[in-house]
Amino acid sequence: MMVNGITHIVRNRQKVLKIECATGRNKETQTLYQQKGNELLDYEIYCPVKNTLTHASLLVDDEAQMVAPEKTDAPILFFGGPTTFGRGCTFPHGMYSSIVARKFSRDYYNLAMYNSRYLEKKYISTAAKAIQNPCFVAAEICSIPITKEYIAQKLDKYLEKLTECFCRCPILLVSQPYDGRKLDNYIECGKIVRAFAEKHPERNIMYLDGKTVFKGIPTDRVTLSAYLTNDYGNMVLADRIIKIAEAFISTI
Amino acid sequence: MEFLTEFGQPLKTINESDYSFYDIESLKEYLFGCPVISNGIIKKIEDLQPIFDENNDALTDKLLVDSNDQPSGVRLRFLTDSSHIIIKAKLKRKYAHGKMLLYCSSGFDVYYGDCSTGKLTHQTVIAPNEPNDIFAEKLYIVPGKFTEIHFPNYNCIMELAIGIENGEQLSAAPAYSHNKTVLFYGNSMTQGASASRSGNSFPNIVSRQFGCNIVNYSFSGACRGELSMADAIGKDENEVGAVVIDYSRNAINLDEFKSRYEPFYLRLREYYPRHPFIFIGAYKAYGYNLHIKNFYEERRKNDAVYFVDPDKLFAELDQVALSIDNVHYTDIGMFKIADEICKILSYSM
Repeated sequence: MMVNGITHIVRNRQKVLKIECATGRNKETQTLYQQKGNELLDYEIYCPVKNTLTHASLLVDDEAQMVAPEKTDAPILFFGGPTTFGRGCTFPHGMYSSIVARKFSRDYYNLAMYNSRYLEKKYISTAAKAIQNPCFVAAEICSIPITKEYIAQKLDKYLEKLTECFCRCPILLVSQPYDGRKLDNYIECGKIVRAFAEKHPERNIMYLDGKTVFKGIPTDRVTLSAYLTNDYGNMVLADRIIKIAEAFISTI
Repeated sequence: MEFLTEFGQPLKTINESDYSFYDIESLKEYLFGCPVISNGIIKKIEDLQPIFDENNDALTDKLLVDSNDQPSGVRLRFLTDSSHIIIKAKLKRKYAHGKMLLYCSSGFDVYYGDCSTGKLTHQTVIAPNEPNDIFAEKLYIVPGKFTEIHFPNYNCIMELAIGIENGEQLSAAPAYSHNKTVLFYGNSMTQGASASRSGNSFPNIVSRQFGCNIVNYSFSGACRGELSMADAIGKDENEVGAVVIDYSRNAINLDEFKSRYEPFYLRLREYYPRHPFIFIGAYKAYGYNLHIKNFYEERRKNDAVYFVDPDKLFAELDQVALSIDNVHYTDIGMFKIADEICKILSYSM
C-alpha cells in the first residue's frame, strides 16, 4: 500500500498524533486530521513510492497558519537499489532512510532505484547538481539480486564518481544485509571497496558489510521474502547506520 | 505463478497430470489451528448467532462474519517426498486488505522444518498479484524437511488444492515440541494487522518460536468479549495449555469494555480453571490499558495470570516505524509481543 497511496504523520511537540497509510487510494478527498483546538501541528506527507502523482492539493481552514518547517542546511543523501528503495517495507516511514533521518532530525533525499541496475554514475552526477552539501551520503552498493559481473563492471567507476562529487562529506557504503544465500557478489563488492580505499586513502569512505548487520538475528524476523528486507530488518539496518553516523554527525 | 479465471481451469504452465490433488477436506489431518471446516471453508466459530444476539449490533455482526472465515492462525503441516508441490487456491478477494501488505492479507507463508528439532526456516511467501483471486504456484520442497504453510490472515480461501507428485507420499509432520495448544482471542492486531506476511502475526510467531499448536480466534474490529464467544472458545477441541486475551479497543466504549472484561474472563476460567491466562494491554489506549493492568494486579493474587504491556514494551523503539497507523503493529511490534508471550509460556505452561 505504500506503493499507491499517500502516507501521513501528524505530530505535536510531545508525540505522534496520527499515522495513516494508503490515504486516497480509493477516494478523491480525504481528511488527514481534525483537531479540536488550534495547536500548530507538524504534518509529514509521503507521496506514493511507485506510482505517478498527477495532481495533489492541500485544503486547510481559512484561518489556518501554514508554517514551513526549518530546513536543515545539510540533508542526508541516500543512493542505492531495492533495499534503499524500501522494497519489503510496509510503508515509507519504515524505510531505513526515514528512520535514520528522523533520528538525526534532518531532511533527506532518497534517490534509490527500484531495480538492480543502480550503480550508474549518471545518477550521482545528476544528484550532485541539485544537492551540493549533504551532511553525509549512504549508498547501497550491493544487493542480493545484483550479479557479480555487474559489480565488477560498474562499482569502481561508481565509487570514483560518488567520492568525487561528494568529496566534502563522509560516505557510508552499505551492502544489503544477507544471510549467506549469495556470496560471490558480496565478495566481489568487498574486494573492490578495499582496493578503492587503498587507492584513495584521502577519500572519506566507510563500509558497512551487510554480512554483519543481521548477525545473530533469525532471518525470518528481518526479511519479507528471499531478498527483501522487511520493516524489522530496516530498523536493524537503520540502527547500525545510526551508530556509525553518530560518530561524525555531531561535528557537522 | 499462473492466474486462472476458474478454479477448475486446466493449467498451462504446469503439467497437472504429474500430480495428485488433495482438497481441503482430505487435508484435514494436516491442518492445525483450524477449528471448523464448513462446506469446504475454514471457519473459526461454527455458529455466530448467539454472539449476534448478545451484541445486537449490525456492524459488529458484519465484521464477525468477515473475520470468521479468514484463516488467520491456520497452518498446513506435512511431510512429503515429492520434490515439488502445487498450491492452487481461489480467494474471496482480489485485493490486499487495507492497511497491510498483500503478503499478510492473502499470503501463503511457507517454511521448511527440521524433523528432529522442529526448527522452522522461512522459505518463501506467495500471493496472487492484484487483481487476481485464483492462482496456481509450483513450490520446491526442501528434501528431508517438513513443510509448514501459514494461511492468509485476511482473506477467505474459497477453494484449495495441494498437488503432490504422483506416486509420492503425503504424511504427518513431526509433532510440536509442546503438546498443548495456546488459544488466542483478539482483535485486528491478533488477527495479523499489520505484519508484512501472514506468518508474522504474533500468534503465528509464538507457534513457531515456542513450538506449539495455536488457535487464533481473532475478529478484526469485532472483538467485544461476549460470553457466548467465551463459550465458543471454551469448547475448543484441543488440549489447551494457555489462553491469551487481546481484548480492548474494539469495545463500543470504555464503559462497555469495563463491564464485559471480568465476566468474559470468568466465563473462560470455567473452561480453563488452572491454565495460565496472558492479558495483552492496549497500545496507546490509556483507559483500556489501565483497566487491564488493574484487573491483572487484582487477579494475580489468586489466579495464574500474566500481563504484557505494549506501551512499556515499545517505549524504547522508534514510535513511527513500530506501527502502520499508531495502532496496528508492523513486524517490529509483532515480534516484540511474541517474544514476551513466549517468555511467559516458558515458565507458566
